[in-house]
Amino acid sequence: MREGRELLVGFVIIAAVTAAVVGTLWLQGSNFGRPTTTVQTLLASVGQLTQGNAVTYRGVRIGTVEAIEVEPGGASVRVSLLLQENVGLPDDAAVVLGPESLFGAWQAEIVSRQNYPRYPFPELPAGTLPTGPHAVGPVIPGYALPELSRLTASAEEISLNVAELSERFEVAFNQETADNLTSAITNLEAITQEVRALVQTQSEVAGAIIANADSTLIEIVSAARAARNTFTRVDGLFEDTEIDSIVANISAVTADLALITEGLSGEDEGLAATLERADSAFTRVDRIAARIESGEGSLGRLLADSTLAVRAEEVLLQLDLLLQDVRENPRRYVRLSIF
Amino acid sequence: MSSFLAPIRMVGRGALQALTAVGRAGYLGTDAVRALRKVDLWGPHLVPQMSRIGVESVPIALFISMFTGVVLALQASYTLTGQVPLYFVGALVGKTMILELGPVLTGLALSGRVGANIAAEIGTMRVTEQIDALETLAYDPVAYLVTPRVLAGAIMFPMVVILSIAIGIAAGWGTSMALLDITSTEFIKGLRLFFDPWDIQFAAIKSITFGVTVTAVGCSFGFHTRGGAEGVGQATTRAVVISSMIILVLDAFWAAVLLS
Repeated sequence: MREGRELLVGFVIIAAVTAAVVGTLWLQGSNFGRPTTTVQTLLASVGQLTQGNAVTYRGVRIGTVEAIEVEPGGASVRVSLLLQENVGLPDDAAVVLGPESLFGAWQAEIVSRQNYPRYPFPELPAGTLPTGPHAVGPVIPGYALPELSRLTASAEEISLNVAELSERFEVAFNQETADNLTSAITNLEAITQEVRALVQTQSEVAGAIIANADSTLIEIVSAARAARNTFTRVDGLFEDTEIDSIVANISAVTADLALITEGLSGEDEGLAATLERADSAFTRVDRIAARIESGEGSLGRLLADSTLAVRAEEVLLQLDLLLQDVRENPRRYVRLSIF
Repeated sequence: MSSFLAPIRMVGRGALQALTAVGRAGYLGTDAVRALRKVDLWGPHLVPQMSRIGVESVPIALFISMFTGVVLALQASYTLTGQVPLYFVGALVGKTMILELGPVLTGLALSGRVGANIAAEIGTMRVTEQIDALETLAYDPVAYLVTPRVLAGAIMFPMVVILSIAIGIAAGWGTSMALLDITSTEFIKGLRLFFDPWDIQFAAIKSITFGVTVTAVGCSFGFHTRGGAEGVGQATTRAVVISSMIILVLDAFWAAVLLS
């Protein structure tokens, strides 16, 4: 009786303790003696990751988060992952921490870095070694996705802006606005038709204008060529300095005229007397001319009778012969003696 | 005048009785601790008390936990359908059974069964002067009657609670697979989702205090029973009621102390 009672008590105690221990290990995801290996990862932060969270690879659970420790310098966090030993990881393996679902729990997912080029995985120095009591396997980089709270905060801000925008739109867009918009659309349709007709008409006019413009343009081109030639010539003139000399001459003439003008202005008073003297001189000249014309006097006879002129010409010839003979035979005509 | 003062006297009498009971329980607890030295007195009675308090309580505790697990799974599924993934049924069943319903329902059930049993047994020994006879024979009645029961309660309550938690979770698991569109994998996923080993320790700590409370209150009320059979009945009733109230107070106390 007593032994049976003791047996029952012992059985209950062992069953309860076994249930507690095995149940705890099972619920923690323990491997129950299966071969495992430890991989460590370095991250800037771990978000909501906690010890015991799942580690997955290609969506399959292959281990648990064994330890989370802040590095001595405080620059990063080192997470130890207890993985099944028979799982082969990619050469460029990295760890991405993120929510397992929308309801809180996080997980560590082992990925290939080439599949996530935009994630800022930290560059680990060559030869980074695992540390601490879990220092067994390699050290790989990791990145923690933004927490859901940050995303929801951003979404909340966006939703608030949208709500405010909706309220403003609702205030602005009432029935009157809708009616106005309807009439505006109707008017716009009519205006569109008118514009279309106007455009058609104006396109024809524009065609004619363009044709005229073409011919005008051709003429302008020829005129431009002529002008270019003219300008070339003008440039040549300017380059030849003829204009400069002409201008210089004109300047000199102008200066002379200025002097004359000044002289004239200075002698303005004597001009009248001079004119009177000239007038009397012209009168006498006129009388002399009348006498010459009538053949009076030597000059009159010279003009009226050619004999005088002929005789004068003969005299000049003889004189010329005489001078020539003097040059040739000066001793015939000139005799010098001192004594 | 006397009719005017009667309510006040009643309140004062109740307060004095409560304080007296607390004082007696304190003395009794002190004597029980002192009696731990007298292993030859309480040692032979420990295993029988563990059997009566623990082993014989397992069926009723498992029965309660099993149906609690079934109801939890069904109500969780009813609550979460269409809003939250159904694997949260596993999380809800596991967390609730481990942290709250397993220890508290088992404690309340055992307070009725064990507490009443202890109070009635010791109360009967008191009114039939068996305890006086023990004292006459130079036996320490506290070491002989109280210490083995309190120790047995402290040891066996956590065992019964852990088994009831396991059965409750298993019942919820089976219900989820049999009656709900939840696979075993989904239930386990939910079960593991928010699990923390500390939860098991929390349940064990609570159940130890519940065991000590139920047995100590039963012993105290039985030890101080007065009168005949009526007194035994009153002591039994009070033991069950007081121990149940203390269990609920301790539940809130430990939640505030250990989970905050």
